[in-house]
Amino acid sequence: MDGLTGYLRSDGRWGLRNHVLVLPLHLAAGAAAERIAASVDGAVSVVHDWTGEGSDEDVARVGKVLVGFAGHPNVSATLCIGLGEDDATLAERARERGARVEFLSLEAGGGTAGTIERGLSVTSGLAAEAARLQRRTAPPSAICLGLECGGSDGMSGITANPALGVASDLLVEAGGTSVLAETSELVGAEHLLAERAVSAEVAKDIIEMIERFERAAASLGVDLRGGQPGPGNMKGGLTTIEEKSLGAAKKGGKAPIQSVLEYAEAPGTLGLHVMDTPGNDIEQMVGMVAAGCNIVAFTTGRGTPTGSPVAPCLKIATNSDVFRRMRDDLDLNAGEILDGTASQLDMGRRILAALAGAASGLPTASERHGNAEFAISRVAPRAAMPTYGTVSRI
Amino acid sequence: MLEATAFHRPGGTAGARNHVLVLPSVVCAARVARDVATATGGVSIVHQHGCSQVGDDAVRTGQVFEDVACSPNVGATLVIGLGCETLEGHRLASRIEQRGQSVEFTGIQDAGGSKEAVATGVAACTRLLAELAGSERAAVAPAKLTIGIEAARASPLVDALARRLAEAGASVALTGHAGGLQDRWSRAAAFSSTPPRPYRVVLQEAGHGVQQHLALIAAGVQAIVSFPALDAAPVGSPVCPVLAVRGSSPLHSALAGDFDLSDGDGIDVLWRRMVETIDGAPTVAERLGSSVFALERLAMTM
Repeated sequence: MDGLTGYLRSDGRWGLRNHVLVLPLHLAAGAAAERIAASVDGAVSVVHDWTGEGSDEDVARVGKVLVGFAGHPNVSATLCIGLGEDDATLAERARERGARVEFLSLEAGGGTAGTIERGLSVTSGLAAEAARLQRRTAPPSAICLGLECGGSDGMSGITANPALGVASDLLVEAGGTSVLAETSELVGAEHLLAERAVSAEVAKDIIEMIERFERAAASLGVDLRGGQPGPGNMKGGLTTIEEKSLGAAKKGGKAPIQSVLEYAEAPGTLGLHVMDTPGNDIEQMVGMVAAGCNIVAFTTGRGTPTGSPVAPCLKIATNSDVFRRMRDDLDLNAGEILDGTASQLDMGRRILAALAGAASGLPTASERHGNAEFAISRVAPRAAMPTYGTVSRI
Repeated sequence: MLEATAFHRPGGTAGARNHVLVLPSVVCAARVARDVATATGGVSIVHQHGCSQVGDDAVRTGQVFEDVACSPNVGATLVIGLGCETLEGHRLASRIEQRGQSVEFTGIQDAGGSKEAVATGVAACTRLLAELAGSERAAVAPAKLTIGIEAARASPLVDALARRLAEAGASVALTGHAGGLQDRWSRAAAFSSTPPRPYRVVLQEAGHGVQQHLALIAAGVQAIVSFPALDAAPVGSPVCPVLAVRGSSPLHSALAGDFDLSDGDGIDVLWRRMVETIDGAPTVAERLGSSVFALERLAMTM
């Protein structure tokens, strides 16, 4: 990975971008965060609907995501905006990990207008600090790659996903880190992954992760079809979740699997890891990025423009048709494998080279379009269907 | 007396606003929806839903999207879909159309990408805005108005407002999970005129806090009068003006500037502000650009 550059952060992790993040910790702070980020060059913000209320499991899960974003290596500094002073604990958790984090609350700022005024001055200062930082030559271990597929079709498991698997293997061999996720899209492929676990314990974790998902889905008493595979997947030729999974798992190449990570949990070692996330593109990407993935490779057969607020996301087409139709949203064409103009190995090398280029500062298609999707992933479903929106006349 | 003006819709309803809604059917279309709205003057919604959802959870999410698009405050809707999502945009658009709303649809994959979808969407949104350009406010009968009351805390103004709306002949939709709210409301119903209009409804299981705004919008309200819990902040909603009433708590005092008025201002001031809001005066949340789409989900995303 010659020519790879990045920003070395104080905790030893590498940033591939140098954003200033304005992060609302509560939905009431969203309007202020958005206004501030829109007014300062180099600042980004996210929109979400979190109020801090939920099951203990969800409070912990969302807290990990917000802390992971606030302290992300692609972010040189974060302004966290909470509702009250209680929210400062989330900012403090990111700070403890060495991140440069400022905190304001709507309560202390006297509401939205006052918080915008203070936040603008804080964020301008953080952006000026960020502008003084320089890229330097980075080793392959600087890369923590999130592997993703979205809008998959019948070609995904034949072209782009195996080619991305080659790129992931090359990265891991060179000393980098790679994360395979999307639990619902690994159902049916768990035995193949478990065979590659570094220990019997990790193999057990993989099987358990899938069984946990299957139990959760069964407890809802619903048919997965429509959700997985989705309508677009089916139009693209995928018939069952198992077929989708066998193709999706190929993104992880052949490398040994070091561990199973919880949602938004940082990998403890270099190498390939599996993370327990929904198959939903945005919730998955948010979980991987919150865990510290500083770049994402995203294969797509139907054409998905998604990106992350803080991480570059490289789009790889699974077929030449979608690559031509949505040329401006896609970065690479693995459809060439089907066309006979490239082998999986060639394409894997090209993906790795493109990742190094994007890592070193070349904007990806999703970055050019300003795609910066964000979602709060919750696991605790409600027990019953409420009589929502229906009326009881009195 | 409730003398207000509104935009009269072909279907017989009347809106306090005249929005063209740019509605993404899935989170992946939020960027394009926002770009279209920004370029044209439509209003867009940023949400995280629409894909990898199953069962009742998927059904209800689609239902809420429809209900928001069919708010009387929305004159026309442009649905932006991606093309591979669970809640397919073109189906959502037809369901909205079946309910008598003016609607257009743009699909990102159909259009050939984000840039192309923004261009197609801008053209569609411009057509919809032009359709609405001729509409003007005119006096509206109270019977055509439904006011939402989000009673997340006790306030003497809740009952006073409900009573006065009932006397004026307007309908009311109420949410709140304070114990006994419904009993109190049943008593309030004693002075109602003959159903079905004006009517009073209590929305049950409408979610928590700001999630209740979507339930009220689904009930067809033109405006929401919000009484946020004492430890909650006021926020706005995408297609509906929200008039926020401050209570007595340290948080509410600190956030005074984010509220429109307080309990202490009394019912006459609240009434006047509510009428001005229906007439088009922007609420504090509208001025601040606070627009929250908080949907309570029934199941985890797959």
